[in-house]
Amino acid sequence: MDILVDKSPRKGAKTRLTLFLILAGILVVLSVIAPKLAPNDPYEISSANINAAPSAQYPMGTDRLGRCVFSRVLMGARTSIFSAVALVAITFVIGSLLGMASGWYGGIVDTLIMRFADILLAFPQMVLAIAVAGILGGGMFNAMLAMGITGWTIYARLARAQVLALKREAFVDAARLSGCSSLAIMFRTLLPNMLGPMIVNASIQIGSMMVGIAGLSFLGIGINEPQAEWGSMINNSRAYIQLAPWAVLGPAIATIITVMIFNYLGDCVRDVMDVEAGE
Amino acid sequence: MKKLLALMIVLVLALSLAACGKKEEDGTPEPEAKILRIAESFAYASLDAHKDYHGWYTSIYGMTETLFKIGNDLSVQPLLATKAETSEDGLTWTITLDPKAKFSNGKAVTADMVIRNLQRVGEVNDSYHDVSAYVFTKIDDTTFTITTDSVYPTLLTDKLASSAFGIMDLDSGDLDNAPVCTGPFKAKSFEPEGTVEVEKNENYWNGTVKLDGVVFEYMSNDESKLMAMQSGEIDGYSSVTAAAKQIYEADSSRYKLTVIPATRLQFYVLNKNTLSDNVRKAINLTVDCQDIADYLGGTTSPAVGPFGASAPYGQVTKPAVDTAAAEAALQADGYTKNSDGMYEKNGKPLTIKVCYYSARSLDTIATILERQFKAVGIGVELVGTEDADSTYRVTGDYDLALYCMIADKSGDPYYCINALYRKNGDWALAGFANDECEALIDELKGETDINRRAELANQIVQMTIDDNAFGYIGLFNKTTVSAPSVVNIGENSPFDFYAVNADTDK
Repeated sequence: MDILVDKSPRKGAKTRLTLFLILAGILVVLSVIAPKLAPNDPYEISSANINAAPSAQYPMGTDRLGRCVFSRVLMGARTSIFSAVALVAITFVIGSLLGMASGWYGGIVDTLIMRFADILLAFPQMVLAIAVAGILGGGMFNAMLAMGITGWTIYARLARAQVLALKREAFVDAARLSGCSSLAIMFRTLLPNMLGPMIVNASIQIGSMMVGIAGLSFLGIGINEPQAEWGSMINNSRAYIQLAPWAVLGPAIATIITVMIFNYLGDCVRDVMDVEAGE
Repeated sequence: MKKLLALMIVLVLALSLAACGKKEEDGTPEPEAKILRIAESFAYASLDAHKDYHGWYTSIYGMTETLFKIGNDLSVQPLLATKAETSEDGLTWTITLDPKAKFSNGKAVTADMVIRNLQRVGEVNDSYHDVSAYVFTKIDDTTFTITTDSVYPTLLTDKLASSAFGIMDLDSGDLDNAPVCTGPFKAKSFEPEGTVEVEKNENYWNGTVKLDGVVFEYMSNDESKLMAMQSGEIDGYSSVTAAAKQIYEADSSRYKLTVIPATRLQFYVLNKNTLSDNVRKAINLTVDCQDIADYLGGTTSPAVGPFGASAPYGQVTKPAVDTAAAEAALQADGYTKNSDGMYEKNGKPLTIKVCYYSARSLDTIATILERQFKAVGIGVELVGTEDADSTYRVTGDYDLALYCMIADKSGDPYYCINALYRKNGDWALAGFANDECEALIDELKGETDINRRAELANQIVQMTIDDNAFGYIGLFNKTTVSAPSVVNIGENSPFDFYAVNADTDK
């Protein structure tokens, strides 16, 4: 009986994780093969098809320039998902490295890195991102830079806390006594032991980053036309919401579903880790 | 007992009803004030008409008036002044004021006060510093002269009819928040960069004001204006977008839509320093202005030059769209098509940098241009900015720069020609410098004959077309929507700075 009670939460968490991994995988695959799946050229404009209602030729209708909304949503998946995943990966690596250095070396290194992080955290993330993107101008790189400026601080603080907790452990002392260098201890001994909570955090961040980049594009300071991106698609079609609601609803629903899947995926990763930690 | 109770209840109810109707018995109920509500896209921090562009708005608010005004047919018409005469040498103008003209506080508009106003504009407005050099002489209370250092045939349209030269009583009121002016309305409440309320000027000198007041709601967002119009929160506004226009057109019983040709020009500048003659020629042969106007849903009309084709100074021609000729021009320049169907030379693809800002539909035009250029094999790098005036317009870092300006502010071509085509003009960084053109512009500046002015303007603009230095895309129509009963909110004036007047009604 005890065995059953112990095993079911773990099994449930793993099942959910598998389900959302599959869904996230489908989204990633869809975005990779988007150019093959798109029924029309997502960038082809047509004055004869402005704001056309959904039909067999245009499954989600067309926008104000007669472009196929469905094809643009598919192409937008590539932009939105990959920019969010890439941004999380980059901020994860940079934040983790800085946090580990801060926790391991302490002293002036710790003070400099953490106070800098505190300064950045003093501003609401989106407000700072809007300011940075506004100064740098439009484009995917600038939008990612704007979001990434504060994104790394979460990982840095977490990595620092983990290193501070782990560096007093006996196995770290043993590594140090065996003559390992600081770098070797950090990457071979500490990193594998702190990766779990870091990954949980990173997986939860994907959804937030996606909304952040779409938000900047919606405000006109992120990814600009004609590139297909969900936030800018919503922004550029919102004036026509009473005439062609499909041009707004298509990218909006795609954003909601994708963000929900990645958020649930992050929750499931956390649940599985929690259960394993409990065991 | 029950009957008595019922009787008392009936009596009380009857008395209550009588009390309700008492006011109507005593006299007719007070009529509701007739207030018009208009949405405006911009709002400024001051009502001082002489500073910056504030005069544009005090004119819209019906507060300030100028000595002359520009009519719907672009002619100069008297307003506070009845006539203007030039001396034989063309240097001195004699202005006669309307003796009836007075401020809202009852004070007469005198030559002294007008001279002080004109001199003040020269002092406080960077765009009109040249006025400081003029010599003003009072003849009598309603007559004065203006002497310029060179012949200035467009003094009336450029200066005296310009909204920046709105006449205020400089000795009364708070110029920034409640200036005393001569218009049909006077300031009631002013929220800097927000809502402005004006009320009827009971002392108006030029007729009876029909409205009790107007509220100008600051709404920069086009969707907000659409929804406010649909909910009845506002009675009208101009600069209606293509999307909103379609919605209003579908319900003509609720909305009155007025569309007239106007003078705001969408154009692009081709950088002669970065693009060869043949590439510029190919670009201009590719851009399909009619196609762009179709996408913009009737908010613009295709342009041939910077001025409307109905104006005598708008008689220019440009080659029709010809993509085959465009490709031939590229090939003559040594470009060949690569496997992707795009032109390249020495292995380097032909990509032009198109700069634009997200207003006046320029972002949409940039997207359409990208497709039109791609169709003939020209690659495009789109660069969007918030503000052209602090970026590509001053750095010159572009191949094709999209821009929008009012080309015809006063029924005369000089303003636009002077701004665009001079060697030291606003777009001189693009490399357009033509001695013959410069000489013609100088001649235009001093020419007093209207027919010759039009002839000169046509020659100058044709030069810019033949040189492929500019591309003229479209002229915005002025589109105004209002409730069906609203009249005279400037819907028939091609200019944005005229809105309410004494005859405005709802």
